[in-house]
Amino acid sequence: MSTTEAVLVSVRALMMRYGSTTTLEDVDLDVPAGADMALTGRSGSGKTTLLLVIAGLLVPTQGTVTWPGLDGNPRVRRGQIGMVFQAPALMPELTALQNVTLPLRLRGVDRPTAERDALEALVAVAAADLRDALPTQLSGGQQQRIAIARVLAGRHRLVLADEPTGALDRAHAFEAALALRDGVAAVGGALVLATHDPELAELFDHRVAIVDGSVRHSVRTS
Amino acid sequence: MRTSRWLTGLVRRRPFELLVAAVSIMLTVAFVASLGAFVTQSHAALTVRAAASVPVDWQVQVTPQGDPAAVERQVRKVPGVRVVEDIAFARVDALQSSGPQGSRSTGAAYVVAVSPAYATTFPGEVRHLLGSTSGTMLFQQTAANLAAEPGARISVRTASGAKSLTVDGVVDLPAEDSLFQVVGLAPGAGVSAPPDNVVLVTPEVFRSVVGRTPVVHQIHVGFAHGGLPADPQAATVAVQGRANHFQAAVAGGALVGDNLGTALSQALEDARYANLLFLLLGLPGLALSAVVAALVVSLRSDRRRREVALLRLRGATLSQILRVLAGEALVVAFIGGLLGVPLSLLAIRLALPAGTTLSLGWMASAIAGGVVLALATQTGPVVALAFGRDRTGVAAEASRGQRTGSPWALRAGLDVILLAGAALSFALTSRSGYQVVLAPEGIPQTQINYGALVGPALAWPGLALLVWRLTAWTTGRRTGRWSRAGAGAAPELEAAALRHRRRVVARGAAGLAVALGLAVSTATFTATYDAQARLDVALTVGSDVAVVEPPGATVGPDAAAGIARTAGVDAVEPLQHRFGYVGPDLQDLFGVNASSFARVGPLQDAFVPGSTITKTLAALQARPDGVLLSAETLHDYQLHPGDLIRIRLQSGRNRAYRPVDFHVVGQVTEWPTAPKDSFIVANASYIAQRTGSDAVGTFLVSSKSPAATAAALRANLAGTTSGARVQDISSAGSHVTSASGLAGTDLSGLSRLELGFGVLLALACSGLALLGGILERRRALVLLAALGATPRQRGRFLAGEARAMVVAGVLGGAVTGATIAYMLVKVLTGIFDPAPASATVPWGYLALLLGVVAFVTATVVSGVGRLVARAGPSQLRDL
Repeated sequence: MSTTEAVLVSVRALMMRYGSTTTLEDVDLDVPAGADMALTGRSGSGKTTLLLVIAGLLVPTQGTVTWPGLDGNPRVRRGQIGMVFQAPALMPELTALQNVTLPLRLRGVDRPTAERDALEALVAVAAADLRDALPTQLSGGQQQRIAIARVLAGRHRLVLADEPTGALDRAHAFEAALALRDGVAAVGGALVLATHDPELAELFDHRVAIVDGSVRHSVRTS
Repeated sequence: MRTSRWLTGLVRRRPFELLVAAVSIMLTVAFVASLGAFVTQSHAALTVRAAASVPVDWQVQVTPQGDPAAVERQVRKVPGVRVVEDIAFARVDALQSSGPQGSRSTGAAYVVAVSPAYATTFPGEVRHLLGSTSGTMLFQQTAANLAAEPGARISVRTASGAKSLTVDGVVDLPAEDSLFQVVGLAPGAGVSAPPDNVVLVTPEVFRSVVGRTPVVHQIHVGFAHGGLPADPQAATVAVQGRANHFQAAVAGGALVGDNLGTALSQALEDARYANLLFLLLGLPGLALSAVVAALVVSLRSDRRRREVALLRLRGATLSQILRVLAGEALVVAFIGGLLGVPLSLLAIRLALPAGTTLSLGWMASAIAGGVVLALATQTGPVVALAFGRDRTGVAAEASRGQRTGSPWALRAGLDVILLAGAALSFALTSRSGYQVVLAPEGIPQTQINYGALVGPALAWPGLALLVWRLTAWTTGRRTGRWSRAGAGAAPELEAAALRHRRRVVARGAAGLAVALGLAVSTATFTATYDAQARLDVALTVGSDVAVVEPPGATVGPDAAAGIARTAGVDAVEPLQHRFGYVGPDLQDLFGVNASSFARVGPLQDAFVPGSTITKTLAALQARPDGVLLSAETLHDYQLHPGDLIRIRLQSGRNRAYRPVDFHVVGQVTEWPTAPKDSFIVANASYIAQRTGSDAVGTFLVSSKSPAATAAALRANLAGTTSGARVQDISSAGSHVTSASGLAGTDLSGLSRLELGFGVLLALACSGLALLGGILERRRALVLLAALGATPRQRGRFLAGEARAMVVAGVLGGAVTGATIAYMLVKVLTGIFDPAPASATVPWGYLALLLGVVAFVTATVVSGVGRLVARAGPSQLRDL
């Protein structure tokens, strides 16, 4: 990984322990600005834990995590980081458009601007025709596209995706992952996507594998 | 699948859910048991009061063919006999007296032989007023007729001649009606007016006075009332059976005047009112506790549906699922019963009179009710699913989202139908004058007109459904357009979420409205009852304090000045009390000073239909010969305002009745110290002028501290021989019961139960409905946190829902409570005396209730909301 790129997040000597179980140990990781990174590992290897630490939602047992490329104020920083979950995680009471609008409105964006950006994001994931549908009226794949649109509309500096394609079939999984990667890239953000699919990881420039609690880096050269 | 393993897992993994469900059952069990104790206690109290009110339990009259000694021997064999007294009556031609004002003579009179111990044995029968407590005692009215005082000589005239006696004392005969009853007639049949002239003598004097005059022998019997059954119905049957057995034993030798049986049968009417109170106030509470239990279950109904659906998909048989559900319900019922019984004992101790116990029968009924409720609420919502054979439907249920449509009852317009039915039923009841407890002609027992209960019974669910409908309608139209939208607020999204959850909000609001409605209606009804009971006592006494002159006293209005000087006296008003004949009817006549009487009298506009007290007293003052008459008199004698009426009044000089001209001024229904039936109110100065006597019957005293003022007045009177009695409302209150015979303690016990459980149920409804909403939204709250929402932003989503539910619930509760309270006050008019002109609203209690509900709402929303919305690793992984 090039050290000349601006670093958004820096993790050093990270250790995470749940009770007597050590999930991550001696992890060092930098997330450069604008990068796309795949985080691979088996189920239970600590991918989600690492993402939550990077998001600032989990305090490490040992080690440090800093956000040199993001705002120093935790509240502002939270708005700079977007998250996509394994399940679509939409508000069941809100329509697709409202779900996409939600994080923008929570950040204080006015309603017309938020709705305009949300609609653009829905167009980007080819879900504009679903704007008035409730989550219960959508398939799993459609719901995940709405969740991706939600994170794209947020124009986050950093997007953390926790196996967002895990519930989709292979074709839809690749389609959704690429839509997310390209969408984040289009707004100049960095993407860290956790997946257990090595083929999917191959689509990303940076790949970080978690093996036995430690990380191994690799960078796509071609 | 083993049921025991499932239940063990449930207890280990979801103890909180089980406990909350058990608490709702606990409330029901405790409520049922407490109400049962109230019913038992109120019935027992009615029996005790009815029995205690009887001066002589039996008047056994020896028939001409009977042997008094043999009858008495038989009387003493009757089970439960406590005291026996022989008594004899003889009707003589006249009583005469002669004094400084000349000779006076009465018409036919009764000479009654009583032993010196009689007044002590039966204190309710003879009340000593003046002079000695034994010897020859004149009845107070007879003493007034003869102008005889202790020490005076009177003569008893019989066919055999006249016998002279010295008067030793003057007594009142409070139970004169029953003392001189015609024994052997059915109760209420052939009632004759009691005699005006009575002299009590010792048995020795009796024999020498009456000579060969026919004598009636009676044996007066008092029973030990402790052995009577607690229920008035059972007690009546027992006493009447005892009388029948005795009459059979004496084989025509005696007849029984069963005063105890008559009083107990009259208490049955009071018992009917107690049952009515139970039905009208208790059953809605029970229904509400069932609503709370259902609310608790609904907290996890979606998950339960999914669980049952998954069990079906995994091949569990119907019997296995039913065993699991029933086992879960029984565990909940067991814990609920275990907690509910001690709670009921605590409630009984705190709310009901000392000595009230919880019978085993009611305890078992309460626990059985808890089991039924637990089974119905725990298994009802999912039992259809358990029976379902369609796997597609079951699978759909397993993954189904939240319901948003209207329930079938609203789609069918059931609220409108129920309210229309309630209005119709109430209108029909009002046409019958709100006669709920009926005493049909010729039937000794009373009946409840259950049709009158249909109105409130339909109004409760109708209003609850209407609150549901209106809340859902208004919530479904929220746009957030009018909300204050600060930075980071998303009112349109909060409103959208609220619109989607309108069914949940409306359900919670309806439950809260019913809970608050119960508390509001009960509190209003109780406050109205208390206000009328206080007024009743004040009307009975006459004012805060009353100085009652003895019969025959000639104290004039000037004595008011002396009373006014007593410490604590604010104002004094003399009230004349005479008797006057309107046609053949002897009525009480009250002479007042119309310009100042309102200073002391507890007067209300409702006492003068069609006018106000101020206007009526002004009209009376403007017409010196004016009179206020009862509606009955105006109707019976075809009188109208302005008409001339001649009333025969007793002259102060020779006690002879002379006609006096009056003019009708208006109508009056209640007056301080006046009887419930017909009476007359007139100007005191006019009566004094036309009768030559300004004698005052009672001095009415207003005071801020009645008990202390009464004590001071008693101390002033202690050294005199005036014979005046002093009464005050604080000491009289415990002796006065309502027209229905229900003492205040009965209703206050029930209302304490209702108000206590009302608060608990209102809190449970609001708290549980909110808790349910929050738990249902747990995932959404975690998601909001993950999306960067601050606690304040998350709180806005919750607060909007809580605000909508509480505002709708409080408004609905106010309307429900006011409507039901109005219906209760009208339907139970018979329980009030006097009937209230309007309901009394207990603002303090209602403000407290509202405050507590608001506090609980805020606590649940902020505390539980914050707790539930924690976005830790495990919660985020579950997203």
